[in-house]
Amino acid sequence: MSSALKVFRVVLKERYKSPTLELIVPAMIAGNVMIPAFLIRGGFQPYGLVLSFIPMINVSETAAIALALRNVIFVTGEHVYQGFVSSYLTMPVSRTSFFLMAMVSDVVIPLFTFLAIETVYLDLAGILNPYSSSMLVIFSAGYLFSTGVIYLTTFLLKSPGASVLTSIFLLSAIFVGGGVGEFGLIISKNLNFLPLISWTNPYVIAVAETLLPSRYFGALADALTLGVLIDLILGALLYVITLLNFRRMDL
Amino acid sequence: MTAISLKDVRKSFGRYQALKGVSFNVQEGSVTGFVGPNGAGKTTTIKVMAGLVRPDSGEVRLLGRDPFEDVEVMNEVSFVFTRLMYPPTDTVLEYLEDQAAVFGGDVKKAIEEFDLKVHLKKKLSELSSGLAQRVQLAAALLKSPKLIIADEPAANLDPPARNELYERIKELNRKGVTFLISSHVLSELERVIDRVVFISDGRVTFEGPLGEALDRGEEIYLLVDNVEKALSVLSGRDVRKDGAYLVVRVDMAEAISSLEKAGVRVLIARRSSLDEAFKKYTNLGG
Ligand SMILES: Nc1ncnc2c1ncn2[C@@H]1O[C@H](COP(=O)(O)OP(=O)(O)O)[C@@H](O)[C@H]1O
Ligand SMILES: [Mg+2]
Repeated sequence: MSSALKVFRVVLKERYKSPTLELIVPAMIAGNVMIPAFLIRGGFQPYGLVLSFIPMINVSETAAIALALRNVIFVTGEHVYQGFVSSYLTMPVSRTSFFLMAMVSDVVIPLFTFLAIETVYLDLAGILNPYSSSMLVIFSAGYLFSTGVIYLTTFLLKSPGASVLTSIFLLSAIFVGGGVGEFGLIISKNLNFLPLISWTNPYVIAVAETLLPSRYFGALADALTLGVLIDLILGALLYVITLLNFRRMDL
Repeated sequence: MTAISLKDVRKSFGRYQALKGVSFNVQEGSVTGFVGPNGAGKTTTIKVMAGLVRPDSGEVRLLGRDPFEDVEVMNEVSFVFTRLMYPPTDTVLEYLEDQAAVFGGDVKKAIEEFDLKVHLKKKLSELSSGLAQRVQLAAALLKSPKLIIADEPAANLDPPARNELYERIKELNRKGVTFLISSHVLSELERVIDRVVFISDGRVTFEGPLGEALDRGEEIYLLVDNVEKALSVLSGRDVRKDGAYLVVRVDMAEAISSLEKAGVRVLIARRSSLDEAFKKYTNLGG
């Protein structure tokens, strides 16, 4: 086995020794209460489906974000603040590789766990369709953007308390502020500016789109697609900035 | 061959220049002390060697390899820090197993050799300083390193734990392991090192055999069993007391023979005190 792979095993183990996954996975499985709730009401309701995917309402999504938050700030971040990271960086692994290993363990694994559980669940419930799949894509893009914000604040602020407060404040401000802004624009039928802020909170647009799909002639869907793209690009940018910062950090 | 070679290594933190062109070599097979007062730049230099702090300029080679370019060199070099730098909620066993998973080595043997059996389930945060350093050394040895670089490994240890550490270092050195050990107290290292590098204010001020660093003074330092009698034997000469030592400006052989003839036993005689050497090479002597 290559040195890098051996180090990765250790990095992974540090984040997922029991009881982490034993707590999170059942929470994710049990957390899909909103989906059966609208299924039971009979008929297929895209609106209910979309609603059930909004983080804070959907326990699985919240659990995925919480796990990433814990991994980034209280494992990787803590290792940097306290200097434990020096033990990992004196293993035969470059800084860039270590960063990618931490990123995969911290955020990619929670996301994939979530996506796997969700896909199986939706399939078993017989509602794995374009609506529900696009909700998974929307969530994934927002998740990468949010964890990018958390990563950057963690490495810049070098204090767990400050990182938690700053990233949660920032993300809520973007999510709530953006959502209110989008709502205003949709209500006033001012759709030209919608694509500019659609990345802040795609769910408001998704709800409007499923409520009245014919009314906006695809303008909302376009804004939604652009929002997902912007989320992905911003997320990638945040990760790259954090990596460049980590590469020249004195530890 | 040289185990460590640094050439003109410079590092600034903001405006503060911590390393002002550090150059020295550590010879393979030696136990080299890396000595200087607090703030001299020892830890920064060691972090540069570990790839944890990137120098602004200069060249670093461990076993002929650049630790920033060739990370595989870490398979042959171990670092021991003042504190055990590992997630403190991990147990001793987890820590050893993690190290073995990366570097190989026989965990069972290490547990036996370092007498760790009863401590395996303890969290790293619960270990005494002495035990933590024992665990750290056991982990450092799993990979059978050629070179061990230790930053003030004995700083928090009581005398028995310190002795134990130094005995282990001597034994490993006999088996061919090269050591660089930093300290801000030279006398603490004198029993274990054969060479010394002095660093002061970000610059190396001396590099060579320990004896050469000491053998520079014109005065000799004598520790005797009967100070009063020794003073009367040496009366008329330039003699003063410095702590427990008598400091004399005379020929060493002559002083010892005249004292022994008068029934005064000379316990220690040296040409210069460790303190003097430390002061001289670290600019503390003025
Ligand atoms: N990360 C850092 N940021 C700012 N200054 C630092 C940093 N690390 C070390 N220094 C400064 O560099 C100097 C050398 O420190 P250090 O290498 O720790 O010395 P030593 O280990 O010999 O006591 C000190 O003045 C210290 O304050
Ligand atoms: Mg130091």
